[in-house]
Amino acid sequence: MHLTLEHVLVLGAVLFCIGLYGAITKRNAIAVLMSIEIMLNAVNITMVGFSYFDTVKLYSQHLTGQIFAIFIITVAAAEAAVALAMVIAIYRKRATVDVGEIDMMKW
Amino acid sequence: METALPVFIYVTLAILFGLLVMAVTGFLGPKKPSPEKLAPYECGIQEIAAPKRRFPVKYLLTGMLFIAFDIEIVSFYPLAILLHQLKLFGLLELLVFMAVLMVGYVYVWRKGAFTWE
Amino acid sequence: MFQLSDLYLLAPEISLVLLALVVMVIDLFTKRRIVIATVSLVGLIVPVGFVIAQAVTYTGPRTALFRMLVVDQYSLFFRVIFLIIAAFMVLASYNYLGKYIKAEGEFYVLMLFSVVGMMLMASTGELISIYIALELTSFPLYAMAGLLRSSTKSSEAALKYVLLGAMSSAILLYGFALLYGLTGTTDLQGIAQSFKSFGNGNLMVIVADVLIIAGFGFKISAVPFHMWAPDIYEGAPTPATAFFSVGSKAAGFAALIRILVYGGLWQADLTPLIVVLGVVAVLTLILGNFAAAVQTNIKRMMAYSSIAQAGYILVGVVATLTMSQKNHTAASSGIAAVLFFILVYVVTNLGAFSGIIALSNLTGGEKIEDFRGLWHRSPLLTVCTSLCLLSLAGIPPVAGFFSKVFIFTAAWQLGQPWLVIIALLCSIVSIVYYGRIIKVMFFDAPRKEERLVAPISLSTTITLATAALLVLTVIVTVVLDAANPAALSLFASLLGK
Repeated sequence: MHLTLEHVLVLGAVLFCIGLYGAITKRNAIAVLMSIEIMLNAVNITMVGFSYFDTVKLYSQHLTGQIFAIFIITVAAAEAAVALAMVIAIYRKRATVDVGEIDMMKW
Repeated sequence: METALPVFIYVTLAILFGLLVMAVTGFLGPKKPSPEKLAPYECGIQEIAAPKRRFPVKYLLTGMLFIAFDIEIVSFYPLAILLHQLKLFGLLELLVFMAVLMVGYVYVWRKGAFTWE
Repeated sequence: MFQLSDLYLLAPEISLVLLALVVMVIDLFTKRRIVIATVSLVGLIVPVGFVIAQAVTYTGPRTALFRMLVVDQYSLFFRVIFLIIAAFMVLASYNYLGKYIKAEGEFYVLMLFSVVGMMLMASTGELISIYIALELTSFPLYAMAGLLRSSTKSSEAALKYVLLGAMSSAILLYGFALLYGLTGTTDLQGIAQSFKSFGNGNLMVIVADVLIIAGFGFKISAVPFHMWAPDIYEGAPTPATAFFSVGSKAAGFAALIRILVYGGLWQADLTPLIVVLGVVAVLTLILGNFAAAVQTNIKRMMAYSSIAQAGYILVGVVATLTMSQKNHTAASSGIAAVLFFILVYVVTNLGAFSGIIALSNLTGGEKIEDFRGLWHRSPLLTVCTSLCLLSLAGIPPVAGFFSKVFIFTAAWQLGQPWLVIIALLCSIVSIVYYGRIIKVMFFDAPRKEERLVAPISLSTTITLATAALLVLTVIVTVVLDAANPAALSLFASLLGK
């Protein structure tokens, strides 16, 4: 059995759904952040999969997807840093990172 | 399938070795349990504060800055591959990228984000 | 390959980045707000100059930097809008910053970087750059939401914004990934070329489109994805709220329209997509307008009002997509109406928000009842704010009326009469809640008698915004003459120039 594009895409889709489910249901802000990272990595897998198997020969530019993944990784790191800063700011004031308890304004 | 065989052998050996070491220490090691040793974070010393207390966030600021600066290096991978084709333009781009990053670094430094307390 | 002229095409953005870096360095050495604000405002002349130079010497759409940068009338139009926003923001935030926020320099730096991102969102023709530009826009916005360090609400707003923003980016990226997989390229022109050969009813195309629209739906606060807007608008510092309400929205629409139209996605049969977008537009209109009508906090009301305004813009986008396959020139009239609407909305909303900043600074409250009888206490501010609110409601003499008329006629002609009827009914509701504030300000008895004197920078801002609004009303046809080719230029990549 060989690794095909379908396998990669299914893995990406499953990971994306897991991440989305976690991001919506988790109550801990850090857990939400981790779920979002899972979503982003699902995108990375999909990108690299498309890039590696290169189904469309029309504009065969093998590396584009992989470069995209590198950019997503760097931006996601910056995103995590910003989000963690916000979590710390909240934690200092409220001593909780539970999204459900952060409810001064209704959602 | 055949190419994967060495990997399987390697993984099996690694697991077996781990189990073996655990079993040998279980047989040979002296066992003198005491309440302190059985406590979480066991190190023989009476714990001073409850283990649930969280550590201060001073280090986290440095940690976050590290994440941001550290991961930017990944951007150099594609550039490194193409540097010979891009010639001077690629080098200049690299320098501009570094310069912008440096302004951020100096800013963070001068704002005192690296000094604890 | 790379040419030196590419740098000229990118010059507005480059000079703006340099300006932001300079402001950042100045912030290290001086604590005087006036210096930072002056440098920001004067420095804006350089990018404005470059944009004007490019517009005057414009000969046709040009691409640069390996087709990542597209300089056509569309991107020039949006660059102008974003530079207007930047200049207004420097002025409008000046007094608020001194009063509530300690980190004045940071506010300007973040705002300038965000504007660079917005300008790039309108002028890139490639998915990776669109993503980078989007995040360059968003990160400063997240930080700006949390700048009120003493307020728990502000930190909360920032946390919600960053989590929902990151989630929406991930959804958007998944759409990009599918688009890349379908076409094998991230270049929008390449995507447009390969969509020529796509048959109808390709499920992957629809899924990718829906994901992209969902991702941008957060940025433009369209209805199923609008939940963040009211909380963040209420919690964030008011100048930052003003900035979100115009900048994030205009940039989101700029990039969405760029992808849908310039990327040629309409060439595949989009009937299911048009239905989805139509439903989103209707929900946005209904929820935005009706929820705004029951708010008591003026910032929350403005949040729902800006959701409703996104609904009108979506009507124009849907109309364009309906007709794109049959007739490019006709379809572009929808985009032209959208461009005009966004320009008017930006000016009006900035004016309304500077009025609200000024009035709530002076009265010390953000509830609508705090604004009672302001006509007796600060006539100039009250009149200017009321004019802006009238324009948002679309009452005849002001520019907001024309922008709504253009969108509605375009949508009617392009075959979406039902959307127009719903939008019309909703704008009647909008008159009620905008009118309520005006009524409270003019006819209710004031709480105190003493006169309120607004600081000079704020009264300048709001007078300028109102003046700009009136000028826009007079030169409607001139602006439309600019918007029409800008809209048509989006189709240029497919029409063989």
